[in-house]
Amino acid sequence: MHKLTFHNLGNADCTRIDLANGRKVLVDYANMRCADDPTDKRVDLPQALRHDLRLAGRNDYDVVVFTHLDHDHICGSTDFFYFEHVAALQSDSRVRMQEIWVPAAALLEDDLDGDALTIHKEAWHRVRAGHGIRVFSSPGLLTATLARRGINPARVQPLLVNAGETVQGFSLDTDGVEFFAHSPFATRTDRNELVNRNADSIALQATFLDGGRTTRALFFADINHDVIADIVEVTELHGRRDPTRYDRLRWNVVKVAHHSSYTAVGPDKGTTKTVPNPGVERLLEGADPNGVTYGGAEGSGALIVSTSKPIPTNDDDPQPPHRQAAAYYRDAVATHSGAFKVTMEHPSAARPHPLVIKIDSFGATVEKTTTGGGGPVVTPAPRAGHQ
Amino acid sequence: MELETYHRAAGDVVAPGDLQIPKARELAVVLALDDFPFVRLVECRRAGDAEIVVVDVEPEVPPAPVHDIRDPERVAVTFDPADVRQPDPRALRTDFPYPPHINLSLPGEARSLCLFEEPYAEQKPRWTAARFLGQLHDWLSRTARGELHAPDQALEPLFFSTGNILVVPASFFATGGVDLPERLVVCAGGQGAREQALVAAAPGQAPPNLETLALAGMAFTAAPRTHGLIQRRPRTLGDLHRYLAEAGEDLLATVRERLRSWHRDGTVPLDHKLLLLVRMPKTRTAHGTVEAVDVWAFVSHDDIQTLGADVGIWTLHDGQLGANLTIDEGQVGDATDLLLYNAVSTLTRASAAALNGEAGPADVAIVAVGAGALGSQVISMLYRSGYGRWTVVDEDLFYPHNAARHFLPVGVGLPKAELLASVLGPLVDDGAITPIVANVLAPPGDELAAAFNTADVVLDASASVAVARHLALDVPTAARRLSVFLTPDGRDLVVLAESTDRSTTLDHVETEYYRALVADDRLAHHLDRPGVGVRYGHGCRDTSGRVPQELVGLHAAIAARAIRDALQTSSASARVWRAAEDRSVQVVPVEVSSYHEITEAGWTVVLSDRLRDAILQQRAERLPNETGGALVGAFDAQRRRVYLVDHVPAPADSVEQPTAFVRGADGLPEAFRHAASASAHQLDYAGEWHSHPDGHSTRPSTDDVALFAWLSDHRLIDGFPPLMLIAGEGPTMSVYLGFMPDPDA
Repeated sequence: MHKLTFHNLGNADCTRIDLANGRKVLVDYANMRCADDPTDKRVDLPQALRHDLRLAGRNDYDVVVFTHLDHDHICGSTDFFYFEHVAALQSDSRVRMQEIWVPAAALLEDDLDGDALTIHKEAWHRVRAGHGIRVFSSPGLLTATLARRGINPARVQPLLVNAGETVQGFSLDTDGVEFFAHSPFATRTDRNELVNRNADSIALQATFLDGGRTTRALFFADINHDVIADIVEVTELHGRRDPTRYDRLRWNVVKVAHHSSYTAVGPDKGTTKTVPNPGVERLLEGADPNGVTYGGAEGSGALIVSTSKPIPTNDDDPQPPHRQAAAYYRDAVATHSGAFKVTMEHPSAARPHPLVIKIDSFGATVEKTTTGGGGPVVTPAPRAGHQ
Repeated sequence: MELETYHRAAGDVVAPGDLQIPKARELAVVLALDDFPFVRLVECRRAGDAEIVVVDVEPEVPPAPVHDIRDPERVAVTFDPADVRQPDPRALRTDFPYPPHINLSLPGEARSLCLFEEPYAEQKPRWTAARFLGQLHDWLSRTARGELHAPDQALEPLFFSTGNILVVPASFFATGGVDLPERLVVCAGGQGAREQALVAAAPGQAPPNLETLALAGMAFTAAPRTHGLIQRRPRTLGDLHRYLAEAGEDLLATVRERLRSWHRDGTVPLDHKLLLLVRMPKTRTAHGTVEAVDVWAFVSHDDIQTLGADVGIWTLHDGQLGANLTIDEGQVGDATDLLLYNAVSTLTRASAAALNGEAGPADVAIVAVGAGALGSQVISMLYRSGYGRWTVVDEDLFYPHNAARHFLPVGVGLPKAELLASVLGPLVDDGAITPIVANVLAPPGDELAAAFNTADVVLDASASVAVARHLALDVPTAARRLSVFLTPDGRDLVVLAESTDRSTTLDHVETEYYRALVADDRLAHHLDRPGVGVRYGHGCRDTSGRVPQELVGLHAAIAARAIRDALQTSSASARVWRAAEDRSVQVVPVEVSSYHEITEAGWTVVLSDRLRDAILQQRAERLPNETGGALVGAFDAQRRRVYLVDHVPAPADSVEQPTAFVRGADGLPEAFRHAASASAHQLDYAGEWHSHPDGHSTRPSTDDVALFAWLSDHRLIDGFPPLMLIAGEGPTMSVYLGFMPDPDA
């Protein structure tokens, strides 16, 4: 069984992928909790992660993905991880990252500070070392920057992952998972010249295999509806030549972009429900040209996950989550008899705890653990004589 | 989203605060706390004096559930005001599925979920509303995944039992082909606090002590079906017929045919009721093999006369029966109400073994000699665990004082062997236990001779050395001999076993056990006798030892296991278990030497290899001098056998020279006093041994002859023959017994 754990961090991301074979991948790390506020319902992220690592008897992740360098995706990384580029961040208690995945933008941005600067420096350190990193997309700007820094671009080539490729290092055969890069597109970065962090963040599809069943999950970081529509369009373009490419759009779990911001659905917020970009609509509700739906593929379930605060009932706060976007997601997932889950509402807004999705021969199931009950707990100590 | 339709929960809505039954209140309070995820209070109700808490449960439902569990499920939990019946959770959705672990419910009722395996009384001390909710949630979640019923768990009964039981011969439950009797008789069992029992058997095989009822039984075998699919209980013969007809079977035709034939032949009076045994073979999957057979027992509410009319084979006019020429097919048994009994199998050797945690029954043929305190309890344990096919030999009657320490609960004044067989025999359907009331020391009758002849094992539980020797040496059978006995105070248990090939026989092992009593400090005081016995009659020997049943029972259990263990290995073994005052037990294994037998002058000398090796070693150590000492052993004058077990090395005042050995006496009396007392005079002085130097034979010298004459004089007092052992060069050794050859001859 594989597991996805979406941590309740308010409008912030940290998703742990526990593979059936024991490998662990962390997608983003944002420790948002106010340590001295006892009413803060956000999870104590470092404590939760360390607890899990202790149970697993390790102190590292096989991969940590920094989808982009926004605060709500990297906050507190400097305090938590072991960084190879600077001795001050190398105590034994720090959690090691065997490999980091970053968008090319993480190397190209300047004027950084704090956690973003730490990750930026770490990324350059690993690029220079030639291992322990994968860089998503290879825009011309990157080639130029490498050259300027005196790094032979050919040496860096094996570390690059372009949109439309599967990521080396994981396979369905040995790990029961395959990661496929949907974004960033090098062309987009080249076109803009100026780096756009959200648009150039890493978007992935993970394809899981367990007990003979395929379950797919899309991780959409903070990309907006345009980029999602681009992903759909480009993938379908490839699909016309190679129909298996349509599978890259199929999903049973979607971590929606940008904490249920309407900008990930369509251009206008709308009054009760955001009208989706046709590309977004096709992905979440529609089907490939052969009529096979993208959502709820192969009967493995349909779950849309918003890593966000509880959905508001009004529009007082201009920040996400937006109730109109949530309304759209609820309706969209209902077409697949699925469920829309909000991290700060699970299992209740009063007492949220990390949302766990089990992935096994039944597909994707939201884990629901109650406090009482359970086999051995309710079984009396055995005594001979009773039938 | 489609709307679910629910069964209406009983009674009227009340406020949670108005609930009176403590557990109902606790559940409502817990739900109101809002501390528990995935459960929500819907409403509280009162129906009569019962109270109902309705909850919505959000189970963990995978995308493709095995059973159609939904998120949420609405469940009404009914609480018994007396808290005797456990809180009953009913799934209210009208199309709730029929997964495994559903309690029997009537058609149209909400399904009752079976959450706990334990009886309610066992759950009560730890019942909390929170745990109940957890278990309810877990039941639904695991059922959704089809994981509540583990793949290795036994298949569920097709119908849930109502409590009343009918004991049915085990053969009815066999998965293979079964020869069913055409008719069954039914006897009344007893009435327990919760249920009533009936016992069904083929005619002539019913337990003799039970009252036969006016019930005639017939059996019907249905086609195999998958478990867990049918939960509705047939109420009438017509119901049952239609249920079986779904699989293409015609129960009515069989019933009609059988009733007509019983009526025609006059086998069954018409005022009898009908017992219908339906055998339902069960498979795990649709095309799987039959893994188990459910037997369901229905008793008709009406007698056969009325029943026959209801199935259209005859018509009643003013109580008069008129046979129908053709069957009235419109009469399909709908007026014949059926009472459901839970059919339980008689115990078989296989199930007895399984219940005892054994891999299977053992077919070993055992003749047990002695059904006394220890023997009866050992036999009963082994028999009731499916171990052995038994012949029990005992000459004694069951005396009142025996009951203080005996397996038998009843039967004062009757032969123990017969009592034991009559009590144990019927407990195991295919068990075998044959009594023989006889003294084994007397010439055996044909039955006993045959039993010995075909036995795999002869188990001596006689508590008699004479009987043990007799069984070891005088009974012509290839069976392996085992002996179990307690010491006089009951503290110690001894289990002796021959080797399978009988190269080491029981008498050898017994002698080794005596040697251990002398040599092993852990066995000190083993054979000490407790105080005066308890007199139970006027005869000189009418006394019985003061031995607590605690010790007999304790050691019987150990002996039963030791017998199994001994028969698992082929070598000879001897073990002693010693119980402390608090009845904790320590085992002392006894090393068993092999023996060689030499027949000499009408006597058989039985010499342990250990003793031979020890003497040869001492000879070698003393060379070029001679050495010698005394021999420890036992004489069996009856069989003219002498067992040489151990030796005493040369006492300190002995003279050891290259050409002579004069045995001294320092410490010798003490050594033999110890041997005699530790072995209760089983071991004693047996003769002399000495060595000859290299280059000399083991033939006696002139000095030896003189010594032998001296020995003869002294042995005459005991009536035992003189014995001298001479150890020579290499492994040669000669034993002279009774007389000595002329050294000059």
